[in-house]
Amino acid sequence: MAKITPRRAPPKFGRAEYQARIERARAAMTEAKLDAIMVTSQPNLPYFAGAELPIAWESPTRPWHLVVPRKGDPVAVIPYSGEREWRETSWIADLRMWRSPNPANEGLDILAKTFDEIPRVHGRIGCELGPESRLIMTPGDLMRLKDMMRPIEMADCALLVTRLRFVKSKAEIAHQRHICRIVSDAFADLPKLFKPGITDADLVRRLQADILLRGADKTPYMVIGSGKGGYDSTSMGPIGRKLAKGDVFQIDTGSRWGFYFSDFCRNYAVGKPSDEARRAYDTLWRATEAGIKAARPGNTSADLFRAQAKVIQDSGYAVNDIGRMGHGLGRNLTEPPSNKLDDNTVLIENATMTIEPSLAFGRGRTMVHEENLVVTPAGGKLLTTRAPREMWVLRA
Amino acid sequence: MAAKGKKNAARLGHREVPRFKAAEFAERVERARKLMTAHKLDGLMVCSEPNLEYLSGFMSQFPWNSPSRPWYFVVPRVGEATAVIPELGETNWADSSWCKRVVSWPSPTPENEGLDLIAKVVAAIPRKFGRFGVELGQETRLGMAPGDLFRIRDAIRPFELADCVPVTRALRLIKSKAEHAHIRHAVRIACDTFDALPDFVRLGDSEREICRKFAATALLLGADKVPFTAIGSGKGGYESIIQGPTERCLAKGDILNIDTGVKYAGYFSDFNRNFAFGSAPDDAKRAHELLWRSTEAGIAAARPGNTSADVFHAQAKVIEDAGIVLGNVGRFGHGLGKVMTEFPSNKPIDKTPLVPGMVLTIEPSLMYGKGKILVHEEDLIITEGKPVLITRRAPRELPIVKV
Repeated sequence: MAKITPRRAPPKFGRAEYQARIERARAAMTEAKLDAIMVTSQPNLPYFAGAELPIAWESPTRPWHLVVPRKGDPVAVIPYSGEREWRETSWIADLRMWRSPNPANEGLDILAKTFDEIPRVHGRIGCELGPESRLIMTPGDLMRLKDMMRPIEMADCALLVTRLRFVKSKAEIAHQRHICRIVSDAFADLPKLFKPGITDADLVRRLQADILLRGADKTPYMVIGSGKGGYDSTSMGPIGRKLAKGDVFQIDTGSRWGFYFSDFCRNYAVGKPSDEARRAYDTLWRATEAGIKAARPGNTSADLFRAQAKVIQDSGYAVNDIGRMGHGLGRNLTEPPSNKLDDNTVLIENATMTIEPSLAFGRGRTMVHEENLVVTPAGGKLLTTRAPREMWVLRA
Repeated sequence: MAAKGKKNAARLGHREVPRFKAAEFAERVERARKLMTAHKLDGLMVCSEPNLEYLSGFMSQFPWNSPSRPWYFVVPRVGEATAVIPELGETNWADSSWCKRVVSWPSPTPENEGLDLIAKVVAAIPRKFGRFGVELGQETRLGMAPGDLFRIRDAIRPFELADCVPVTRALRLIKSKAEHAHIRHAVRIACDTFDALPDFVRLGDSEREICRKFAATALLLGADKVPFTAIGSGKGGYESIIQGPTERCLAKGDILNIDTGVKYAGYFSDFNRNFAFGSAPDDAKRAHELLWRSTEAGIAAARPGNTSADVFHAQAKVIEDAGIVLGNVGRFGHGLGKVMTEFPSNKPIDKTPLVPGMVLTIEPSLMYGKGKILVHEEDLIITEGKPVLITRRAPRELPIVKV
């Protein structure tokens, strides 16, 4: 196995970072008239708790919950079997546990009791109900909890936490930069992994392995689209297709380190690409530049769409039917906002976004570019290493 | 016993397991319909990865990695199934699913993620029981926002929202031969990776590095994903089995355990292996031999006529007969398939009868020494008679890697 020296990893989050997140959450709860929030999703639970629990995310057998009151210390309601791992990785010490799996009652009594003991001002506790929520407790249990917690009302906290996570701290940005650089290095070295005739599936396996050896934690998402002269899908594959001379392909990957994601793609040609493919690439490279420049506080995500779309349309192409040209990212591969015309989310300094223009060309072909950046007053500051001005050409 | 690493020729490009045929999905949908009748459901809707893939054949990484868009699949008890999906997924759907009826919306549209379309599709379903099933129950990780589920509950009236997990659980509990082939393939890749471990692990490697090399090797040997690698290491034994990797570096005298879920074409393997580096203390060797026998007992008990509780007791008896008090794990194995851990659980209160076609892990564990834990795991298929072991059986004696 090739020995690759991993990049130096940034430090983990300290207690002060978690405390700051809790304080911001409390301020948001005051504004939203919530007595507490309860989180049970992969992006949100460790965001407050720092707990590292791989089994929690891979095995659906047991739910894990964290209650963050507006007044008072956070409480984790977790299975007994996770106690040791929780105490070793989380700063939160107040644990209320039950023996799981226990389908008849997966900690619901304890949750209801915990809610009951929270100082009650508004009579509302927020759970992750809103857009993009993916809970690790069952909907049936959530509905049961809704009844059990009466007279306390179950409200939504998903939007509240999404907004909190929109702006990244310096330490979070360092996490994102780390994984973006790892993956950028791997993409730049992909020509070493490529062999003419390799299947798309095997190339993806090699690249995933390479990214791991460079220090990534996981690559949950890697897709590849390929075809003669261009590809026609940006979120599919691999399909077992052999890559050969004349192909143009793109690999789009979401890798993560320390629970922070990169999400970007790169384009390659096997042998010299056609003029129409090169022209499409050039257009998208310039559209990406426009998007990067527009990533300033005060602009909206719709503005990011417009900036990219303008370059595409001015170059004579139709804008793709994908719905958006980029999105937020952080603890999720994709997060709000969406860079699309009807999303008027105002960008804030230190939000992290993707710029992701795409266009249709030739006969049913599509091409996409993507970069990840931090929003700053001087425009977007790249987390990724910028894609080359022309696509990489691999020996056929 | 010295363990040697097998030659790790990265076997890229080896023959992939044949994909499921249309007849397999037709059979799954028929079984689903029979189960809906039995559970008094007029139809069901799935939006979670294992169930949506299982019923529709749609394979994509995108829906399960990005929470921005939900994807739904509606199967009525009488009538044709319909996919209700984001517009951008139409081509991908057509490429991998047998279902031709597709309605879509330009997701993401957080204010209404296809809810109108679902209401329309459900309204057209023939109503006999007045109940429509959604994934509410045990082990569900829903692929949509719960707030939207509450809205669907109102929107589908007069249908009453019910739980379809009794149906999906029963469907996925018994695997077909084609599914067994997928699981075998994932297991074989993991076995090959463990065989290569003595070659790619070095003293001084951190647990994190070991997990990365393990996952990288599994990928190069043909895995699609390695979502789960848990590791425990320590001098003379390890103290944890579900922790994520730490910066602790492997040293002479350590015992290492890796527990891995390797994924291939939508199916999982799940088992662990132990390795000692240089030497192992007697108590660890004895514990290993005891767990090997406990696993044998679990394997022997894995037959129709027994329940998953019986499989637990068979393993537990061997450990308790040796005078050891059982630890706090809760179960000694579980079902395995499209999810790394599935129904049933091998534990005293789970009386699920074992039926041919089920895939089960046998996973005893015990505490020994000062706070040490040891675990074993094998994967098997339940048959009419003796179970068929899918994993290559762990050795009876704790393997000691020469260092």
